[in-house]
Amino acid sequence: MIDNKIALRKAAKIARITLTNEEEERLVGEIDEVLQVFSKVDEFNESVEESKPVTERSFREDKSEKHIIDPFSNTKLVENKKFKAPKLVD
Amino acid sequence: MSVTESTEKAIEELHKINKKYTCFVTTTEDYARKRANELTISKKKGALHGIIISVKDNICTKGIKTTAGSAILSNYVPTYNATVIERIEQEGGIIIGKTTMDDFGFGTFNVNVGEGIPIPKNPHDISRSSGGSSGGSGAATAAFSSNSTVAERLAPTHLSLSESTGGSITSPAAFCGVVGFTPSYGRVSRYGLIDYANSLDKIGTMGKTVSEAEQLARVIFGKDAKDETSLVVQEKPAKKVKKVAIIKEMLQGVDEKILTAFWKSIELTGIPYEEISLPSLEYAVASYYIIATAEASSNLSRYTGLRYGAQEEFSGSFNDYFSSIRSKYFSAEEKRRIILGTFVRTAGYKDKYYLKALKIREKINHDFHILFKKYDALLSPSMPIIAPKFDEISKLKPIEIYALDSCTIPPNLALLPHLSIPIGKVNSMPVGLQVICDSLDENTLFEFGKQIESLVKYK
Repeated sequence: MIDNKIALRKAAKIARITLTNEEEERLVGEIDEVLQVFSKVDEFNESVEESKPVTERSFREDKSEKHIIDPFSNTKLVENKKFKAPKLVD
Repeated sequence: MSVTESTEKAIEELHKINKKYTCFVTTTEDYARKRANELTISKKKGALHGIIISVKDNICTKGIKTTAGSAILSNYVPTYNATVIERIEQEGGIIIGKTTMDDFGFGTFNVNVGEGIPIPKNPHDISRSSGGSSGGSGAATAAFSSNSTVAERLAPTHLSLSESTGGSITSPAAFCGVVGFTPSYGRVSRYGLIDYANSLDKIGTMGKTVSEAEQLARVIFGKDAKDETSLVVQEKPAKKVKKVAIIKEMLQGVDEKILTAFWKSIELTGIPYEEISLPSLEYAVASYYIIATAEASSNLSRYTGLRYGAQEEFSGSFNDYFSSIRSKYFSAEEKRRIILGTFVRTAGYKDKYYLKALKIREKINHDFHILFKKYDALLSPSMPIIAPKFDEISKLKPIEIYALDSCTIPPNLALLPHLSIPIGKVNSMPVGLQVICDSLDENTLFEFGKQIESLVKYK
């Protein structure tokens, strides 16, 4: 169960979401309630035959294709035709 | 009417509908007029010639804002069309606008929307939800007029392109009294669909009748080299449905008056049926939400404020920047599902939740496969309740809302084709019948759906 804020903060950190105190208070209860119901899946112990894929993998030739989409059209964070990004380490 | 005349008339209707029911995020009047002119000049008359099409806002439309109902994508303009959009335009369909939705598909009532994204109102009662997550599509389909004569041919005025992960077509179709069609997984290309859960997402259709939903569906079916999961299908002719099953677990928790309407419609069809039990469905809602949120938490990790979507000035390291964008622009429901999905995948919990959920899903798939060896179709109510009022929704806890997907989750989890057909009203609000057929047996589904529709005669 997510019965404490430490577990909630860990999941939020992995997800790159910073929660306010109010959000933490609310979410720890809500998510714990959801997980208590969902934990019933742990009761399931039947063996199940795995299904087989219905298609075979298909491959294309290893050739570069002409770039027809402008990758920078939805960002202002561009410099010298490269994406600008924050510092890796502060 | 010519195509340009019918399009102009549809635009007039669009403005009235959107003013009353706020079902569109973006309307594309100028684009529609341009397309109508192009169709008038072209001699080709495709399967959707002159029919206006609304598109759920998680399907990419080149040059037309596509938000997925989320504040984090409120400024996103795709540079390409989804494959389904290409196919619709090749057959003469005219895109009229992008319909509102719960953010990324996270919802059953289309109330989980980003800032600036409208919440649609049900045309049968504007104090009630249109269903979700495709609430805008449901409301638009119910509100537009039925038919018009376009280029000397009687055609539906409007059809809607929609999407379902766990029931997002069936819920609004049932609540708004229209037909919703969700195909077998793999029938329709997902290229250009903004992901919620890749193993569950299916693009489908809505119309006022089964024939209308089918008309749009047949245009978008087909293998796509850009979507590895799309299938080449050997079409089989429609079977005559002689025996159906009704799964007891899918009747649990359904409102008594809806059950009465359900059984009345079964009687009207006159089809022999058997009530059976499928115990594995006890785990269906839990299995679905674990898998869907796990996949969503992975898919939504791409929204970091760099290449597209909401952006701000950098401050701090990349972790600080990513967290600030995501924390500011994701809604409460987006945060809840991302955190839930992250949690069920983490070390120490993955076996207990995620891997078990996958096993359950396999079991449910297997059980449905066995059922379809004996029965031609399955029937259930579409939703356990009528469209709730907005103030009722605000009092529900998340777990209570998730539980209301109990009818729609089983066929969505098992990737089976299904229809929601309106069969009557309870407390003046529409109720739907859910029809489920075997995987890739859309031909039987459509024929049986039309048969039910003609016998039930919903108005």
